[in-house]
Amino acid sequence: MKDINLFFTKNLEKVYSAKFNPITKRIDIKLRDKRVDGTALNHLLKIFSGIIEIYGRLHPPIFLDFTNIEFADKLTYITLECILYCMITEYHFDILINLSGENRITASGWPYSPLISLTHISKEKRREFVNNFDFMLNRNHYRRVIKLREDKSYVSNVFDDICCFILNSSLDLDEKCVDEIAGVIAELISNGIEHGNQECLVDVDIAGGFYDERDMSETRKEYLGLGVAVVNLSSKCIGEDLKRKMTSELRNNLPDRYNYISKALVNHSAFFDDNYFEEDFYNIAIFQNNISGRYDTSKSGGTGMLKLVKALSDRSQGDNCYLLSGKRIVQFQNEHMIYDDNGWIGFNEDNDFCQKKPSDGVIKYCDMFFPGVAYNLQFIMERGNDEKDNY
Amino acid sequence: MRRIIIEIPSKVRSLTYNPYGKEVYETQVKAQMDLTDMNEIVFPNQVEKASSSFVQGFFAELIDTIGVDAIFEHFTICSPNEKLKTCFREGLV
Repeated sequence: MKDINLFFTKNLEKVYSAKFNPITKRIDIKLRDKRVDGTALNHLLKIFSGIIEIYGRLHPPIFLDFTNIEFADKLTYITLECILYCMITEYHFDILINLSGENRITASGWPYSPLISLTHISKEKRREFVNNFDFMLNRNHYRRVIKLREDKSYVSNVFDDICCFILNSSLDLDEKCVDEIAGVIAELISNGIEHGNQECLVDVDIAGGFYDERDMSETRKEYLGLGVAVVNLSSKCIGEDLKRKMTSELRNNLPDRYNYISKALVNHSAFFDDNYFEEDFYNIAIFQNNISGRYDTSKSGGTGMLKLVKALSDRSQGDNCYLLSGKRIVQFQNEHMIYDDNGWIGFNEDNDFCQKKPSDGVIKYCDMFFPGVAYNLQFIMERGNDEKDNY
Repeated sequence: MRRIIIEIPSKVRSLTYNPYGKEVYETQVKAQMDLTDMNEIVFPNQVEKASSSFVQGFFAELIDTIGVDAIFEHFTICSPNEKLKTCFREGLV
């Protein structure tokens, strides 16, 4: 995958704690905590950077002890895959991972991820990991690295693939819901490829067999987890082009609607502090109707993606949806994803984009710098709760 | 009424991607359309839906030059699939 090395060029800190073990003849790395999240991945990147510097010519095998771990969410293990893919393909290290833990509904799918190929060390398994990183398909798992092509209709082929996948999966959803899910994924892929003009990784998994631990009745409900991660690697963060055009000579050619953005920025600057940056402002500004995140003067700029996310969130019993770009996160909270009549979205209780800052919990921080933009969409759905019955 | 037939690869049923929308408009619509008349955009029967990013790309130049209301006045989507027509309506709102 192109630009995979940005994980290392954008996260430059190094830690030299991992040493070659002459008894095991490899470098052994054990996680400090059971929970694998952005902080853990950041620490792992620092360790890897130290290993690359010291052992970059010798390439001793690396053993990762991920016994009894818990992934924070889907995007966490997808990011781990990317980091390991980079270590293997760019820096030519062999990696063996001891991976075990509970497959929780909030981070479902990792037992079927390319990571499993790395639980055995061999050339074939390494090749299998690299191949599976690019493409995997079965009834409940769709994964593809969408590569740039001249023929722009190919992204529509992916849209079709995803529609077909969702329709034939064990989710057993009505057509409207299938369209909503496939539609949001298509929007994320389209936006991602456009944003960085680069490749895009999409991974969709459906996991069932989850039950509420507190419900011991015979008629207890089964829950399904729908997990979507879309990754677009780039040297640009998501709000950068919008900020650039608002502060460049292009500003004079922008439609009048951007005056509202300028006005909002003045108001929001009074709120900037250690938890809310100017970068966060632009990260929510790109979701405003008819505001484009592209570096152009177009009047078009969609709200399609967020509306679809809201529709899916309304259908589900729980969700965890967010965007990660650089070290900043925008959490899509259901109750704050409503556009007003003028197409502005405030991400706050008052739904006021111009005067009020986002509510607590919308803007978050990630220890690791994510190069580009990534989305984590996780929905918990009740099996057999067909929306058709509710209309 | 001016009828503009759109060609889409036969295996494509769901349209997406803003630059693809722009390309279809640039190569198949722009030269043929007449803004003094109603233009009927005819999509192949197999096309069932379109994402808002495609729709926004397709009409990007017209949004900038004549605005959304005028687009509704001068363009109509022709397809046996009602879903596709709805996608275009909602994609412009």
